[in-house]
Amino acid sequence: MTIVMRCEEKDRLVGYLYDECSAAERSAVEAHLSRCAICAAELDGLRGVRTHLASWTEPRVDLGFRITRDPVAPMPHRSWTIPAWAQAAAAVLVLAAGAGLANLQIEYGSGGLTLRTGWGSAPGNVAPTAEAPAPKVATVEQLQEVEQRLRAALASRQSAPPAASLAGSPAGRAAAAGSPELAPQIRAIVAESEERQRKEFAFRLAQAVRDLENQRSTDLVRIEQNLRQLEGVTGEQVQGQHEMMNYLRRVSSSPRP
Amino acid sequence: MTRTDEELVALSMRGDTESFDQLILRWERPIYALAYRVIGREEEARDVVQETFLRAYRGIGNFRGQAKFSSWIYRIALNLCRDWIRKERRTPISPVPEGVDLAEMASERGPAESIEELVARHDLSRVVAKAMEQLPEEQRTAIILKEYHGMTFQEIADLQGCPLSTVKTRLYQGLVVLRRRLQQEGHEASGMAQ
Repeated sequence: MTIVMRCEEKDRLVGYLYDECSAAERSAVEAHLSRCAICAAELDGLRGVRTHLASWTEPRVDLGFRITRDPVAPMPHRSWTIPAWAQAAAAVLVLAAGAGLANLQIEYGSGGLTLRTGWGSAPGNVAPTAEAPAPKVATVEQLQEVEQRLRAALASRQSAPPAASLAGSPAGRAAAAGSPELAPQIRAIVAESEERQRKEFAFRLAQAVRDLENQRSTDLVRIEQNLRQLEGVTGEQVQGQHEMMNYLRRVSSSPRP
Repeated sequence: MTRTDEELVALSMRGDTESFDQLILRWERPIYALAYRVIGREEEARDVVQETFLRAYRGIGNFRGQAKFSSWIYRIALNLCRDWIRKERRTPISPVPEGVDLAEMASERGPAESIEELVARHDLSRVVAKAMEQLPEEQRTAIILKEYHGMTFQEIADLQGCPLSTVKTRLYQGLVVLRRRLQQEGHEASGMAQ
């Protein structure tokens, strides 16, 4: 198939200009240019523009882009650590304080055995009786005092200069050795707190047993009274029945008029 | 061993940043040349290059390989250039300074090029840049992609999202306007000059 180019077919001229056309199109354009001076001059002018365009160069710049990842921020280094014995003491203190602050109470009454925890004053029916000795209960204030003493001990240890900078002084050696005079104090405080908790628990358990025994005795007396009352009622009824039977026998055995 | 773009893309998709760095090294300068000519500012062109490769890196997992990597990254860069032009609401500024830095020019001089020829080339470069900036964006981009990046009509059509015939029309109209402006500036555009 033969292609014939016309002057207005500029797309063919552009294809020829950039040498991006088929062989048939190229032949058609060349045939047209050979007989059309206007299109030939235009093609020459467009080639000149392309030559001028080549002079436009981009500046030489340093690029060198690279993909980089943001460095992960390191965890802040802790200059001191809490000794294991202090952590253990703190754990015991928290448990003891929790039990004390929870106001643990054991009660036995008509409703059965009751364990009660929580804030607030104890109910009146479980208040210590007059004959019972006043229980030695670890109060919140006492536990807070223990906690404050522990915190003060820890703070004094943390505020002490680093061991490395005090390596030559007695205080530094004591601190480096883990404060040997402080550890017994902590252990004594913890032992004291544990002893108080143990005594309180024993007292409350004994009180519960005593209340249980009293309630059992009261119940037995009441049951015995009820039984006797029931027996009395029954005896009176039996006696009435006997009297009725006797009356009937007398009436039935007497001669009729 | 020189890896192909496709191989480097495959490695990059598996998290190999060094492979992606090789892609950057291979394509950053053409992308910079494109951005520089389209928006006409050096610093902003650098920003476009940086953002282009950042977006490519983040979206490399979505690259399915239907097109060449170069076409994909050219499309990203062109979109960024359009966004910049639209956002700034300004026409590209001629990047060629009025003054002539002889020291810089001398470093770019060809071995057989005299100082007079070098100055004339820079003057022509300024005129061309000024003429280009006055073209409509579609014509300017089509000419840039064709003249400076050697793309085919079809590749330009794909990038510009238009028919192939439209690309030829844009090229023709743009070249005709450039020819007229160059003539007005005293640079007769004739193929006999080459």
